[in-house]
Amino acid sequence: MSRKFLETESPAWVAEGLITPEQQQRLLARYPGGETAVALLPLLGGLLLGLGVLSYVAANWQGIPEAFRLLLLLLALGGAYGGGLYFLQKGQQALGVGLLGLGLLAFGGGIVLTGQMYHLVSYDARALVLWGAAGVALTWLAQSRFIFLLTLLILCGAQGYSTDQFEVYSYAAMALLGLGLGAYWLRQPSRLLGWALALAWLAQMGLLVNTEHYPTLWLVPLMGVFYVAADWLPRRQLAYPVQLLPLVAALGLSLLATSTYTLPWLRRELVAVGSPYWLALLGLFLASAAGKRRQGELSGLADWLLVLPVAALPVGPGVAAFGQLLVLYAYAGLVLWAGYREQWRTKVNAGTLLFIVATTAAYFRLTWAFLDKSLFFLLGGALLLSLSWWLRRQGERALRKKPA
Amino acid sequence: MTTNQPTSHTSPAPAAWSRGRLYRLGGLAIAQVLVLLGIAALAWATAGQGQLVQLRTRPLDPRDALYGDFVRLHYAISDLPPALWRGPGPRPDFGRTGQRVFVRVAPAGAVWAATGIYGSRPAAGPGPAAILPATVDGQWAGTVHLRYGLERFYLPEGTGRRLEATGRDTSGRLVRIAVAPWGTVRLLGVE
Repeated sequence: MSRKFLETESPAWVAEGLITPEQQQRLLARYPGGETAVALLPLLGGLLLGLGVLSYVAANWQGIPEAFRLLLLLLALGGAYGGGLYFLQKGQQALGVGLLGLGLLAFGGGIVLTGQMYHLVSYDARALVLWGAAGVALTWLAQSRFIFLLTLLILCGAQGYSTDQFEVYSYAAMALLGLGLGAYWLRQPSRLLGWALALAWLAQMGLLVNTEHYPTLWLVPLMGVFYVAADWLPRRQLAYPVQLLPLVAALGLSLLATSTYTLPWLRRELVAVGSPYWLALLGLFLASAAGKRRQGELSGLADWLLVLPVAALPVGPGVAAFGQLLVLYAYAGLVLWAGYREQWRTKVNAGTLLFIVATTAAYFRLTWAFLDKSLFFLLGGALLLSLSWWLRRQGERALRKKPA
Repeated sequence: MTTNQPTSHTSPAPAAWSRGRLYRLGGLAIAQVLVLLGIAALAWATAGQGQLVQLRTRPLDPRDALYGDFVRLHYAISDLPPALWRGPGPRPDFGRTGQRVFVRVAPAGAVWAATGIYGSRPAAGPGPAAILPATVDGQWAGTVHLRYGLERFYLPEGTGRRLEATGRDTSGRLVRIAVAPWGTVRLLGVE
């Protein structure tokens, strides 16, 4: 709960006799506020200071004797970590964690610079992965979102470097991100970390598919892993935002299958991925069902309609595209229905949006070929406006009927 | 900044920093210091204990050699005839990049030359010789191309100009490397 919410709402609770003024004070004391903005300053300060020292030393680096250079690196590393521990012990959380982050950066810099000192050339990203591993360990020990995000960047950088420079996919970097940071996120879920992790995972999977020359469609189960992991989160409210990215991707894929222009490509991809793809999806579906069952949220299984293999059916492209449209409508309907039943406005809005998206796709599919283009947009616009107005009204009514 | 009182709240922020947690963090920091010291110690030991080997580089292309703060080195032993394959097993397809091989070098005058390519680390054998681990970088124009991890020389301050002039020499430069008994290789300097 946010401090600001408490501050604005709690006087009314006291006035209505829900809580006593004393309880209000105790609640406010439980969530000390005003720290976050101030807490950011030492972090930024630490970063700037680090960058300044780094650029100064870097400019004069090669002129410094070898042993002294090593000493300097070790001092920077030890100083940052030592300072971090000192301030953490004193209870100055933000400053301490900022210095730990600086220590992690110093470690990475130290690896690179020591390597240069002895003219070591690496033909893989092992050094960067080692750096990322240190970051994962630090994330777990420090329990800090800042370190988590820093490590995320390091691991993505390591993967990008490995695939770009050596055309080798680093499974170690992927495992560190997926298992090391992923497990941390499952233990300490938060919206920000979930989003960052989902984006990083998408980047890693994109590089995997690209580097190993797998069919692009493999991205679906690879992102599905992330969706399923979110199904096992302890709190559902945290899962929804981070499941959005895989869902939007799956929705895009289904939309591709509604067009007879992109359908042939999709069909070729489906042949290329073969049965392992379906086995992977089936496995993920079962894992997702188990997770949703545990949460008592089986209605969420409707999401899996988006990866139904309609395009793979042995029918003409027109029929397959039409079948895909039906699936989209069914999905929109299920989301709307679940939203009404659970009296959950976000879900109702999502269902409404899906309904509109499906209608747009259907409209394109059915009228693009034989309508005059200006008439096409005119009629389409009118259709969507009236549809959204009507759905909105229905939604408001349904939500008003049963006050939560 | 107000100081946090770790006991006043428990749920939103992480719990108080216990002594054990600080010790574990300290341990992680010490491990990182040891990694850096390990890299340096290995390099020092290689220079101290290693067999000194002199290699000749190919003439440097002046337009290509200087990469900011390092020069790219290309050795005579970077391109070898496939006939130098000494086993074990039949000669592999050198067109496949990334294979790990071992190159035996022995002195031929002041400069050392390759005497064989091996699939597994051979004994250094009679007389002075050294084994250099290498990675196959493909085969074209009838030669196997190899990487030794010795291809970069980071320039000490102020020597850039002097080395840039190497572009004009036609015989290449002499590079000193050390090969440790336990197999690690280190570039010591460019003449």
